[in-house]
Amino acid sequence: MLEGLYAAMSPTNLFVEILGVLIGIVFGAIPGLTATLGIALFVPVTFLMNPGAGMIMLAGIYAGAIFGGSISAILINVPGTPASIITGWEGYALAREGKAPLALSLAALSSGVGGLFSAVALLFLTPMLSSLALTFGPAEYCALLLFSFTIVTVVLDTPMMRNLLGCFVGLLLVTIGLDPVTGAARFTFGNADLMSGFNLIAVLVGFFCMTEAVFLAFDSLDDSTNNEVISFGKGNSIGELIKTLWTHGITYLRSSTIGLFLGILPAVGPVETPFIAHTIERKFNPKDEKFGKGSITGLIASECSISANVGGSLMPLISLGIPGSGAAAVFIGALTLHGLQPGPLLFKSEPVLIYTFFWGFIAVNLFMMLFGMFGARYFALVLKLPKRVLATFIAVFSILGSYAINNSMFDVGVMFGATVLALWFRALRIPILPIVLAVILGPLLEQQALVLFTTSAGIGEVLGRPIADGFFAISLIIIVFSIVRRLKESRAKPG
Amino acid sequence: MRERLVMAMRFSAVVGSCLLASALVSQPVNAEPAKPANYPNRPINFLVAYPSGGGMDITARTLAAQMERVTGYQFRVENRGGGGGIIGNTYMATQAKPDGYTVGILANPTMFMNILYQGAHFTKEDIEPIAGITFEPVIWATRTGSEFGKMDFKQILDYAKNNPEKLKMGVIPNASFDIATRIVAKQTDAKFTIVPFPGGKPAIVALLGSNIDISAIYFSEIAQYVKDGSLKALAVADNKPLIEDPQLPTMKALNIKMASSTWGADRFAAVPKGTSKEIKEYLSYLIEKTLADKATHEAFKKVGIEIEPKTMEEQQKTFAESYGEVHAYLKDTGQLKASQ
Repeated sequence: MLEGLYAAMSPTNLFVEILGVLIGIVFGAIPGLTATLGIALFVPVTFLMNPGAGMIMLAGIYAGAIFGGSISAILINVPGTPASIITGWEGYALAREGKAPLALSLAALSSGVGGLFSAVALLFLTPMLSSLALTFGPAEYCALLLFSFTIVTVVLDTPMMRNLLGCFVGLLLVTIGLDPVTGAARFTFGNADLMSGFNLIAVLVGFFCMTEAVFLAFDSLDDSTNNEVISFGKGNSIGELIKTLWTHGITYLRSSTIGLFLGILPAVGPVETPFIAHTIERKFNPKDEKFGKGSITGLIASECSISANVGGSLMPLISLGIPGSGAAAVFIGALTLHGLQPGPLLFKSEPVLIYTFFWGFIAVNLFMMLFGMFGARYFALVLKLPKRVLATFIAVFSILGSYAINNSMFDVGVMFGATVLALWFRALRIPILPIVLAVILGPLLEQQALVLFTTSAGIGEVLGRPIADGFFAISLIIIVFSIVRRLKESRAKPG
Repeated sequence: MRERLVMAMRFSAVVGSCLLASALVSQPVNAEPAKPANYPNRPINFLVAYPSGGGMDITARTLAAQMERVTGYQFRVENRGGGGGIIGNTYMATQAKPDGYTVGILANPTMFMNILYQGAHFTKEDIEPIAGITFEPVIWATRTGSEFGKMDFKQILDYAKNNPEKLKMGVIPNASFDIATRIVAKQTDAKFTIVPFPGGKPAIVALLGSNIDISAIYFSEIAQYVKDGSLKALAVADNKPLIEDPQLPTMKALNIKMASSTWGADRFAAVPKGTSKEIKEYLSYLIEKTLADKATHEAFKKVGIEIEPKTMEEQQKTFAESYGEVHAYLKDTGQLKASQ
């Protein structure tokens, strides 16, 4: 273990740690360029390095990109990666209050705390915790997913029927493509491009980035807002940030744990995680009126859970050879090309390498936290740009980013389609979040439900699994409580 | 005593595979054909119809690196993933320029399934194979600690016959895994509950986590779990022994009729129709020369792939035969696309 520490602190490795994090932040901050793409692009570069340095650099890009996405989410309401959607709600609202540097450095701090939490867990608990990945069968996944859907439909302030409608539209969208069992084409109308379904990244870039570019462009037409200069309050001292570690300690701990746990599960990645962590935190803080509209607790919950998820997803990857997310899957390919097969044998055959990587991952998270906390003021300068320039930049990168996924113009079309849909739904006042959640979780739910129905003998077998029962029970309680609450509210209203 | 027997078997397996590998290495390489004028004067692209990091991508990247080492020319890997290979394969067949700068690193029978089952807009004539890289057959594996871990494949089939739909079998649908399993089931009257998975990794997770009993899979994907004792290979869906584990029963040994070298992954290099004969022959020679090199074998072994090179003529023969087998299977089961 100590040998690994020395190796991780060697000048070369320190250099790749910093380089990886910086590349990651840039990739993450640019809308349309995701962590997975960043890793995939830099895999060939790592062939020039020894395996340890290569792995550390990729981990740096992964962690950096996940934080970088929050920078653009907070500053201009454009999540740089799909993982930062929730951070965008809280952070952008704070930025509008003139607290952009606070939101940014807080995001960096919570991201760092979450990352370090998972890195320490990675270092000491990997063999123990990675077996969790195997205890989650189809019944548990289905229960967890139903729980997520329940939360979104019930907890959002918008009318429940509209939330349900959103979920329905999202689930409908993801049925397009090949049926996972029969391979039959569903709603493809003979179009080969539609066979793989709509690309998730293209859809999300359309929903969030291009839509925001349209709004910015509209705003810039209106001369009065163009002169609006966003001023920052006096810089928040680092001391004030550190204080949140005490005042919001439990939030940090809870969200990091949730992120870590969801990261270990092979099918849940950094995109899904903040939704779940954020809603759970909201349940624990019913008095926080600002939740979803600039709440510090919400921001911490989102950022902590995403970064903890990164470390969590590396656990089953290293010890079982099972990727915990899309980016982690690319990681496996990169390791294999280095002649290293991640899995049960790697731990025994290359212990120094593994521990070098684990220590390197801790260092990566430290650097990310420092860059974020001290760079916040400089990142925030973006806000001084005129809105029309920002709108153009975002539009250009949305198009480039969706093209880069598969080098296909079709995905660019999908992105524009999603933009139109998002604008239309906004006009109809149907919330976009249930659609997003359904689009992200729908394919996973279909796959797991399918396995559940083909393998389980009946309802009794499903109810015999305690973890699944727990999720079902919580979902049920939430539904009952919110129905009771809504009934009371409607009675209390006069007339 | 038993341990000794196992040791002896393992030893003979290792010796066997070494002998086989050396036999392959010493294969003579055809004489060098004339180098086409002014070719190649820029990097050659290896087109992969799957995202980076997967088995096909690793094959292509390893080959590209070895080609650069052996030939001195530059090679790049380009990923065009999506739709289970159909997007990249269609691009290769209909849009790639036949100028010798786009070489597809492709896999059958996936591509044939694109044409015959999914109705992709190209035919097998649009693609011309120039060299075979490896054939990896489907195998079946179970968890060592489960009740099936104590049985051999024959006993398991009997169990599945006497206890219909009790045994949960993981497959990737509409691919070799699925079809090879159905062929076995049909001939032996074994009845499985077939559980579909989107890829090898999720199937392995389900197998390790006791959610399924057996999975049709590739040996390379489970090699490390076999080595650490958690999984056990049962049989191979081909008629010749598996290079990595020659003791594994073949279909022939189990009296099950199965097409040779068809149900698995036949990875080969191909160019679009219309590429000049000169360039085809030269490229084919370069690949053959690279694959015959001993260091290339080592490099592929390191990433878990046993290469099994084939010349252009051999690969074209396999291509035509395996097309016939896939066509016949789909026709028999009534799944052939109407236009085929």
